Amino acid sequence: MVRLARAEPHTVPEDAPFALVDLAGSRGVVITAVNASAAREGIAPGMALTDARAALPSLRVRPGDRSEDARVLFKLGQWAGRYGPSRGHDQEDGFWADVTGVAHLYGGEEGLMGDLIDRLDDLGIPACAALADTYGAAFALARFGIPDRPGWRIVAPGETRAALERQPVDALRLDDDCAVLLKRLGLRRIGDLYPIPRISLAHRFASNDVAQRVLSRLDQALGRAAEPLIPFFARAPFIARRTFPEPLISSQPLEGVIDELCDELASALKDKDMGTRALLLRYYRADGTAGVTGTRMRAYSNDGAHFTMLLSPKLEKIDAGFGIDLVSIEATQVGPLKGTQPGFAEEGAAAYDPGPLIDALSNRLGEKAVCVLAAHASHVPERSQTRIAAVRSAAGAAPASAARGKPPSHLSSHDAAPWSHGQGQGPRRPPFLLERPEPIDVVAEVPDGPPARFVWRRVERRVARAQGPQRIAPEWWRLIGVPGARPARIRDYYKIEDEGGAAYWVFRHGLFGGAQEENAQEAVPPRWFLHGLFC
Amino acid sequence: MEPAAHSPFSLLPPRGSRRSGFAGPAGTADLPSAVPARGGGDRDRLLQALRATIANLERPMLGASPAGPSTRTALQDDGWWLGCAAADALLPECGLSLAGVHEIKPAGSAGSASAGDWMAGLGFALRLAALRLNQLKGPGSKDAMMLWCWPQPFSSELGQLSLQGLAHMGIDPARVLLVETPRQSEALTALEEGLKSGRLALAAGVIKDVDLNGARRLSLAAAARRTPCLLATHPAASGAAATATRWRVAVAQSGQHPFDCKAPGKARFKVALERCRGRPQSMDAAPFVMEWCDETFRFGLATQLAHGAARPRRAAYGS
Repeated sequence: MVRLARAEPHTVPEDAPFALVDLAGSRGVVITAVNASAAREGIAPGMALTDARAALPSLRVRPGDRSEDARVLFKLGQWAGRYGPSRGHDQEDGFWADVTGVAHLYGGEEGLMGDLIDRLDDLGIPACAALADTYGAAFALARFGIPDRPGWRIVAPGETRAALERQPVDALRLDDDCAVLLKRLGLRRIGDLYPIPRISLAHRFASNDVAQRVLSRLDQALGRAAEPLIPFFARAPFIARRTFPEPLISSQPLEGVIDELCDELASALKDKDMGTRALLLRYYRADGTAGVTGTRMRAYSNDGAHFTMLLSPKLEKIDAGFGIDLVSIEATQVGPLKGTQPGFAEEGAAAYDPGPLIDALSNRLGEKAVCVLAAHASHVPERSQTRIAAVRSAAGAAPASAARGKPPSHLSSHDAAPWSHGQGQGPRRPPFLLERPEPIDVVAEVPDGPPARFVWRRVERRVARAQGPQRIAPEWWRLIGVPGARPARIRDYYKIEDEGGAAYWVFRHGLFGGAQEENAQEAVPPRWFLHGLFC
Repeated sequence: MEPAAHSPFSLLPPRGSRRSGFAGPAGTADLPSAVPARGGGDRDRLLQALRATIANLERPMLGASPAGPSTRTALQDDGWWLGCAAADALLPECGLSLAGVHEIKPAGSAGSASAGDWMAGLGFALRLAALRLNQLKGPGSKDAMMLWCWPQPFSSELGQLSLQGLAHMGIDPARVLLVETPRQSEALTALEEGLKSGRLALAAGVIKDVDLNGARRLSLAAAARRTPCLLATHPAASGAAATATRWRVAVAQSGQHPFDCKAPGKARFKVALERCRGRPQSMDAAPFVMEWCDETFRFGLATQLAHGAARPRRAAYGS
């Protein structure tokens, strides 16, 4: 609601009841958020829209946008990096942060919570926050233990049990059926569960499964069971960072720093015999904003000079804003990289290793601009090859140093590559294929013979010699299960040479007479296309 | 089109006479003291001495041995050859130089080049590349890659390199690194970077126009790590001055198909070597026709028939 009000102020009325609904709810259309006016009328999130309309016919609604919500929440989570290094999603409308060892920077836990709520309030977000020993307890108190928002609450260490006593069982992160069952049994507050022996609690429920869930949630909230949390970002095991006493106004002095950080990271990787295929350069500005840029490598590497070479061109594009006070370089996609000793005979095999060049070019021109051709399993000429970004071409292959002198199998010319089967036999294929076949006007001596004259790009060319046809049938299996699809037409390819000597690869699309294809589609006469150029 | 105006054999004088026509560049004339006295049998020695002098003069220009990888320089692969004796005879001692830019110009008409002209030029360039890739020696050289810089205007005009086409030409497609850039300046940068890295068998690029500065940079980069550069440029563009060789390539009717006189045969190129560093300037630049054999993957001299190529006789069967 707040997000919508900020993005489109006129859509959310101040004084009329208004609600956002979820159209994809399992119980029909459900209200997900309400404004203050609707809340006063007793409309609450979770109500069915039909119920709400019955109570308040003047309610205006609009479908919510969950993906946008999630995106904004993610950004908010990123922003909250100031309160703790690891943050994560907390259901759909919150985030958690691990503030261990951070509070003293804000003058204690009160200072931290006050700062958090004030800043969120400045952003126009009335938030509730709770700080507790366990994630479960903090969840319960933030959602159920704070009477009015914005507000915050801190549970002193060791007082979790007492703090949770008064909270409803819904705060235990149980699913709806479970919570309803507990209430039916008269267990409305978390405190009601404390005195019941664990074994008899299990007996009260119909299934052992439900009892286990309740007990495990209770244990998690009270800190008796461990609970793994999934953060937004996996923490990189290899990271080098540098803080600056004064924010750097320009990105220029960063170069020296990046150089040092790269060396630091490389030596950390070398110590563990590891290499990385991707680097992330994060920079944090003095005003709390952050940015990230990165680079990717073709093979695992732990060469500091190489890292520097790849990252330094990125520095120009960094906008320092109000000044950068922290820079970090993370190695993501880490893999083992064993140092190898080149054999006596194959000394210098690495002289032709294109890895560093590919990295440098991809870094400068973009990944997609630097590519290699790869065969694709299709006999239709334009589908028989694909372009793979060269940086990714070795993905999944052994690290470069291990493969030195023995490149990844698909790059090796010794293996039988799909293209090699037809080598030296069959009709020649043109070295250049047009991006899409271009229609040409053709005059042929006989209807199903090669062209005698044709017009391509407004120039008439007389055909001196022709070879063909080579018939290439469409891939009929691609039509299976596609309703209403018209079968593609057969192509007859010719290699033709004009009087000057230039050679072209042309094809006739379709057949005369329609003997092969029974429906009326054959009423369309075949058309000619130019598909490739020989040289 | 009429068959090649000059018989290829007439413009290639026998070795002896070619040597007698050799005229050293200015500067060699005042080195007679270094030259042994003239005599009937000393002619060869005289020439050898002159060649050595010229090679010494040119060495700084070729940038012989900066700090490259020791293994590459130790290999002593000095150049590469077209595999056609007549054409190779035009080249300097070491063949096509590794440390230089080789410019290939399609022979256009009226300042523009048709797709056919471009195709002839590019086909010639690709074949030179195929020869280089296959002649490369040394550890790791079987997988050494070549760079193909292909600015966007060309790819939309002439299409993309095709895997099967490359394979039919004798180039392992996995050894071709394609670089597609939106602008020419970026293609030049990519070429330069590729040459400087010293990790390529060859860098080839298609650039419409390259100024003196750009050509010079490419030359220096090629010399720095002894990686040859092939540059296909527009026929109307002035020849880049810093190049080691300049070829002008025109489209020619293909050869005889072995089994079918109506079918196109082996690809032929009408090639003229307009400029060649290390050879006399007065060299005859008359074109000759070369034929590419797509089974042995090498050039040969096209054999000409007395009255042009045999062609299908259309009227023979009546109508």
